Amino acid sequence: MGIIQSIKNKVRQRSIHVCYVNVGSCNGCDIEILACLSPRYDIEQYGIYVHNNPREADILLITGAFCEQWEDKLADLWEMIPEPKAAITIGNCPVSGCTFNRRGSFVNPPVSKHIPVAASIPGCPPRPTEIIETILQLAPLVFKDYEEKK
Amino acid sequence: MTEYIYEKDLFGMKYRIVTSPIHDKVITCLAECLDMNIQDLRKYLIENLDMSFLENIPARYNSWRIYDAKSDDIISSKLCMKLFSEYIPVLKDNEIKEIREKVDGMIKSGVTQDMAIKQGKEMIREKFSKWA
Amino acid sequence: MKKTVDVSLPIGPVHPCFKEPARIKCETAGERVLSAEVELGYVKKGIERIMVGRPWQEVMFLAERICGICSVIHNMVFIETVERISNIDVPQRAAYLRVIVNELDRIQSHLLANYSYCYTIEHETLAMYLINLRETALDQLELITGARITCAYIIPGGVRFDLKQEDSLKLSSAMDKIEEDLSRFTAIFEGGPMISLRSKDVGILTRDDAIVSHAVGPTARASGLNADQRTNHPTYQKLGFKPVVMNSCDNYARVMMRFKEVFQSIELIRKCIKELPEGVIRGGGVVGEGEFTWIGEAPRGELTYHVKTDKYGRVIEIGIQTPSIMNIEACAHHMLKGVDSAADVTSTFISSDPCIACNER
Ligand code: SF4
Repeated sequence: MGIIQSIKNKVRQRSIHVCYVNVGSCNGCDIEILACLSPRYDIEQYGIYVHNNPREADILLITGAFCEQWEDKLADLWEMIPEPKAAITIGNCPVSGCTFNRRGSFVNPPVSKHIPVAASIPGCPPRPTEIIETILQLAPLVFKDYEEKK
Repeated sequence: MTEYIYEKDLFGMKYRIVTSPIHDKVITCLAECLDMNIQDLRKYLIENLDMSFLENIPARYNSWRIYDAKSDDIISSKLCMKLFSEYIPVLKDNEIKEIREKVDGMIKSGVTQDMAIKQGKEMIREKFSKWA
Repeated sequence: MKKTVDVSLPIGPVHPCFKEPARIKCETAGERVLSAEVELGYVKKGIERIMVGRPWQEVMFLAERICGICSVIHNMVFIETVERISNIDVPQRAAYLRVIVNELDRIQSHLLANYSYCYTIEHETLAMYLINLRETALDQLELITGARITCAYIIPGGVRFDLKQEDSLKLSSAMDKIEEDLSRFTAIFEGGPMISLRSKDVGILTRDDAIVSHAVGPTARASGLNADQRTNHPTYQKLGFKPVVMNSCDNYARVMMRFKEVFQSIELIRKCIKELPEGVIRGGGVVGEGEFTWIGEAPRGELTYHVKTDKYGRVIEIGIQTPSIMNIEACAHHMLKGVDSAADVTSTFISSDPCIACNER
């Protein structure tokens, strides 16, 4: 491993830009992401920045059970994010559809059908600490030695 | 009202909105009021209103009902004039005024009120079917 | 007659300021907004459809998951409708506990709404203060109900858990903390020159427009309408509840309105703790056949449930009208008209506290 690569690994661990997208959730998971921003959990002390802008994101947080309107839009959004990137789903909804996955509803889970998902956090909703922990654990794994892996 | 188009056809999604239980009741009421085919009315509403407006039809209908109970203008209330011009603005003000003038004219020339109102409804239906 | 417009400006569905996806389409001349439309459909799950044919035990949890921000009130109104259908009485202690939990939920929802507004007008300091204060309210909610967001605390004939003596002491001290901190933050909001430039006289919703579009909740009360369904609720009547009304109709009024309501909620909770009657918290009963419409006051306005059940307690017809339906529409067609710049579009939209998940169900 070259020196440059090891510097990159170090830096990437401390600077993770996050974008979140709601593809049909009940809001419960979204506000738990917002709660991560609050000074009590203080997501920024770990170097995680929530910008909500796909063009500068490293990690995409997905909440919700995938509604029809997103069919083409989520893939577009995923394309927009520059490499290296990873998607994390939050809550039961993107995994199984939670309570909404019944006959007659308009949802189409799981989200992993539509874009590649690196990790899932189950829970309805998961606690903010779990969200932060997952991001912190996943990011170094995905971004480690990215240039050399190619 | 809408004079621009969107990138994606939203008809299916809008149709889901107007067939939810509360909307169903209100739109059935409206269709009965105008002796109109309910499907035609839905189609007209979908083509002319955006989604947030469609969602709000029952609430606006209720506030019209409150207004209507207070007003004593029978012709206007029978023809839901205020409703279609202000509360659910699918017809333009001048169109409504035109219809109103014609109905008033008919009553003056000796047609019974019921007959005139029937004619007025016919005119409103015509306006609705122009786009459908 | 068709007017010429300069640009059609789409905002959304993914936008840094929005918590949820919605698409606002503005027709603008220069930066002035002539008319706006809101297109939804990004979170339509069809909850009303899947509720039909299910027993109330399941519908109760589905009702809660209509909206994660105001889950308690959805739970409460659905259960109260079912109770009224089957003539189930609620023990007095449980009725008071319901009010406590509901007001805690209102506090956290209002703080979140004001956080979003401050964040949108780029006053990040105040925003962070507010969302941190919200955690205090959520802690109390967790202490009483056992969960932060989806608590399912209220059940037919009572509530799930009792309020212990030491918990009520903690609750009182948390109320003191919220009151003390919030009076400071309210002073910051009132005194900030930048805030009043961005908020005063922006996004006017006149009283007449509010009546026509049937605006509800803080949005209506900031426009001088005295519309609060809590005045029709038996327990709130016993507590002597009086709604707050403001007359200035703009963004500033709507945000201030919410601050004032938080103080009011604190007073209500204090009164509840003081007057909390002794006794059981679960009365019991059987859910039967019938049909009823009941309206409750959610943090955002009046929430209507129309429920019809069969004799086994299954829901066979349900219609839900959530407050955001009216408020988003009032915002799109009345407030946004004549707004001076594109930046004010988002702040005005957020000031009406839109909740898309409620709106689409
Ligand atoms: S997992 Fe639960 S809390 Fe999260 S969006 Fe789905 S229903 Fe809501």
